[in-house]
Amino acid sequence: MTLQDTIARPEIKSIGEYNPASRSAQELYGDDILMHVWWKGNPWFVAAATFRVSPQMTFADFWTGVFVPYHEEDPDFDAGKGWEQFDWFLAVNRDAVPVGVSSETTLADLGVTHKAVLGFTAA
Amino acid sequence: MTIAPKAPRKLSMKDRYSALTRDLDWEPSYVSKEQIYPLTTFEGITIHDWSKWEDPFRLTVDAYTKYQAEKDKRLYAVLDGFAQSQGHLSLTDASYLNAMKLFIQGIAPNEYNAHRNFAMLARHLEGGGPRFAALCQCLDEMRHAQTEIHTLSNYNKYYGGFHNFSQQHDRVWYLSVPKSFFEDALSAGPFEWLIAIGFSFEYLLTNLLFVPFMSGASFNGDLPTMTFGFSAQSDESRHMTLGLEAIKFLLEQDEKNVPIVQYWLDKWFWRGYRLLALVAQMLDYMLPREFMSWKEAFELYFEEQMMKGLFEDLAYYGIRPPLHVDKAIQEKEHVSHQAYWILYQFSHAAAFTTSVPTAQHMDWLEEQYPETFPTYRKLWEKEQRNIDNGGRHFIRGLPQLCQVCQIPMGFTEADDPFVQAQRESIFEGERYNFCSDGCQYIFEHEPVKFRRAWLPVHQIYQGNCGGPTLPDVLNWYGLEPGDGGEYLGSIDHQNWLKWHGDPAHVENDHAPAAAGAEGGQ
Amino acid sequence: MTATAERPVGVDIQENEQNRAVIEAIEADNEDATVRHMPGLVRVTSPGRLVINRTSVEERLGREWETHEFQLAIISYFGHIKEWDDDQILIAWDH
Ligand SMILES: [Fe+2]
Ligand SMILES: [Fe+2]
Ligand SMILES: [Zn+2]
Repeated sequence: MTLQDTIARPEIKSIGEYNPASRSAQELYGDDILMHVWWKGNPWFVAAATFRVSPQMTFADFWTGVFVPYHEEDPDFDAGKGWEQFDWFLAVNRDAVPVGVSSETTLADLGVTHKAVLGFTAA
Repeated sequence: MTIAPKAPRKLSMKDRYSALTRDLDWEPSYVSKEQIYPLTTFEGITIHDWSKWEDPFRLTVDAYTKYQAEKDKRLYAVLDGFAQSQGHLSLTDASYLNAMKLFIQGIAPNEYNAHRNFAMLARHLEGGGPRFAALCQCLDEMRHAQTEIHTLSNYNKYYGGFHNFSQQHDRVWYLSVPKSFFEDALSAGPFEWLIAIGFSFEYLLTNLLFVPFMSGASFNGDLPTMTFGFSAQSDESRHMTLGLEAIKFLLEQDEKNVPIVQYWLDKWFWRGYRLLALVAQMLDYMLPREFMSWKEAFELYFEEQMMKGLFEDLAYYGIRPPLHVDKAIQEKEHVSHQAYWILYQFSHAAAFTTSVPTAQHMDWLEEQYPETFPTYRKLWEKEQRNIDNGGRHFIRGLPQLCQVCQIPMGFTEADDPFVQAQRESIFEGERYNFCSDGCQYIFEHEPVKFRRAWLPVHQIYQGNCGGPTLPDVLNWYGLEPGDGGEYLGSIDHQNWLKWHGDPAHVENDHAPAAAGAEGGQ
Repeated sequence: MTATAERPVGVDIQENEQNRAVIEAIEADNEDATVRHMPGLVRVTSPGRLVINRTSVEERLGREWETHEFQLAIISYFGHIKEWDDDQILIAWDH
């Protein structure tokens, strides 16, 4: 329990009705979603990267079409070693929920929903 | 209303102030106060007696105009002298101007925004004293926008990155950081604005913005910027006073105001601190002649003055230092390095240039940050190997952005300072991502407002920024060749060498710099 | 908690010819003041309180000086402006 959890928070008020919709809602991307891909512990990448993808994409297609072209920008990354060189997980705040990846699993199967963070670290 | 009797030759400051300010206020007779001042109750703030608001400056309109005119006169004399003597050639280096490009793109438009909101306050606050102080500040902020643009327009004749600051402020990814910060405040009620901008920004944090910027300018041969900065900053001491009077007034008026003010303070400290990441990297990386590290500036202007001074004063009213201030203190060893690394990697999409710090500059950084810089230095050495192999690196993708501060999520954990932080919250079925506990805390309190955020990356993917490809987006940003990319070999750099008769320029003539060609698109 | 009388207050002043008299007056009237030079500015701090007296400035300037003129010199301050009248400017913490 931190101070943040215990203090009273005043209600936010507005002059009139104020209930705007999200400007990043999934519906704004058709059948696609945004996903964040995060190389945990590798500061070469200044932040996780955001991609617009179909959740039906297989992991193999994700690896060759999305992942490798971006991450091979790190001169120390060796795409030839395949995705087995990493442990994969969904990052939820400070927790890492491990996911098992294989060529035919889709991103949706892995639990990658809109604006989820797919993390990985060296195995 | 009665007409004041003709004033005797010399009224004391106190009397003149009350005659010219307080006495111009009156009790309405045929409309209610609620009708005249409809904005001062909805935020939940209770005011019992508006006449208790003090303005220690006791400024009257005659004194105001007299001294403001004098300030402008002094500034314009400096500007003329600098322009006539080709002063831009005596800067330390053309790369110094990257700091000023950020300034005109990120800050000047927000001076204008500040003027808009203080005009609103000058109309809507219920006390004659605070209304007049807000009116003066409204005019000041307009003056700041104008003098900043006017001063920097001289550089626009010779250097890239200055020509389209206003459109860029509205569109470019890193400028959404200061833009969204100010628009968050502009769309709040008058009291939240006072705590957000008047107090948290002007009193608590503005020293960290202006004083290092202007001393840095002085140290790098930029006399006009130093002069407009100090000229603006001399108004700032009045603004700081308005902010401090505002918070004390709200706290003294009613106990029920205390938790509301505390939340605003928690929120706006963190919002302002995150915004200053841009200043941190400027101080540590963008000044060719270094003068003070971010860490030292933070210790001097924040820890010494505010934590040890101001917050002990405010404790009397039951106010504690802002939440997450401990995180800001921990980050002083890291934040500038992380912020510049972000800007370096994305400067192909920016209206300023970046470069790997020189070995001598890295030695200075290592002296300032003996604990942490060695780790960041390894990154630069890795990048230097890239460059030696012919490829200066720009990231070929789009970064994850924080929903609140809108900065790419490159900030790290307090207890694991080289691992980036990930935070998320689900609101009405949608997930939102944050760079820190501070930003997550703000979102969770105001999810409806912050789900409305216009995040550049998300907008690009919706096709709202000129088209699907990078050139489409850069075109929509209004960038021109030479505005962004790598500094070495850039148009600014080549011109600089040419104007200084540097022999290195001859080489550049024969081999158009590869990095510049890639970076300047 | 540090006593109000000891917590430093301070003011940053633009360094130029006109302001030299002001800075000297502050140094003379505030025994424990500390002066630090930074590019383009002078930073004066003092424990508890810092006072600027019109007459002290006028003596050094050799002409009339109204306290409003201090607005041309000041860049920033920390503390609270407790008093600003015809004769004196006083910066101190309240509590
Ligand atoms: Fe301003
Ligand atoms: Fe201001
Ligand atoms: Zn954030």
